[in-house]
Amino acid sequence: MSQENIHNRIAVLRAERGVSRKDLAGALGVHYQTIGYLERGEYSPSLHLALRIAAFFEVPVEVAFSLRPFPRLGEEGR
Amino acid sequence: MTMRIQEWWHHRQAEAMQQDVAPSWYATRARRHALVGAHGVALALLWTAAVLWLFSMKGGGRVGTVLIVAGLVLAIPTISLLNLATRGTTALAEESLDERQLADRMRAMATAHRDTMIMLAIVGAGALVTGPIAGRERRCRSQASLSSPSPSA
Repeated sequence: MSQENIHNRIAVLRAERGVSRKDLAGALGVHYQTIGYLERGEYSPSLHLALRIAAFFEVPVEVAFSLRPFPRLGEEGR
Repeated sequence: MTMRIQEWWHHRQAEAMQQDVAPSWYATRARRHALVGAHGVALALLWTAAVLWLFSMKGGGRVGTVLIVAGLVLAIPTISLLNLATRGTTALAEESLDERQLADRMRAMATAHRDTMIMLAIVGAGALVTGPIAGRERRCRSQASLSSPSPSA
């Protein structure tokens, strides 16, 4: 597994809460394109930014970020 | 007062970088590469003009002016489009960028430094190789002109 490969659920959390990329970027003080880069896994955030993203969605950081791919929705119940 | 002007300028610059002016010019990777190539040509023209002027080569003044004008005509639009394509990653003040943009900027700087070093090494090696050869040819020519009888004699 690549050291840089960090999976995240930012897109899911954002969709669930109805938050746009621009709104999230504004709240975190980053460029809106950075949210896109994070969601696509093209950029791994610093620990500081990851903690701030988790705090924004009011979830523990491991809910938003993981070293292993997140299971698809519905897979866990099978 | 100066601080306010500086802040105003940074704010205006950051705003300008977010505008999608002529997005079709930098929408694809191939077009961005073409822009980088065009800007490289512009820089080469400007550097050639500087060398011509510095060493006052024959006709360097006139050719240098033409190269400067051509270089600027090419450099100004290409640098503007590249700034828009990168959202000012290399142009804006550090405080206007987030951590991803700063990381991108550092990577761009590192690549630029490495490429400049390679280019300087090639130019240096070229000068080391061609310098003595040119010097020997010059010496041979001057010796030949000294040894040959002058037409007036």
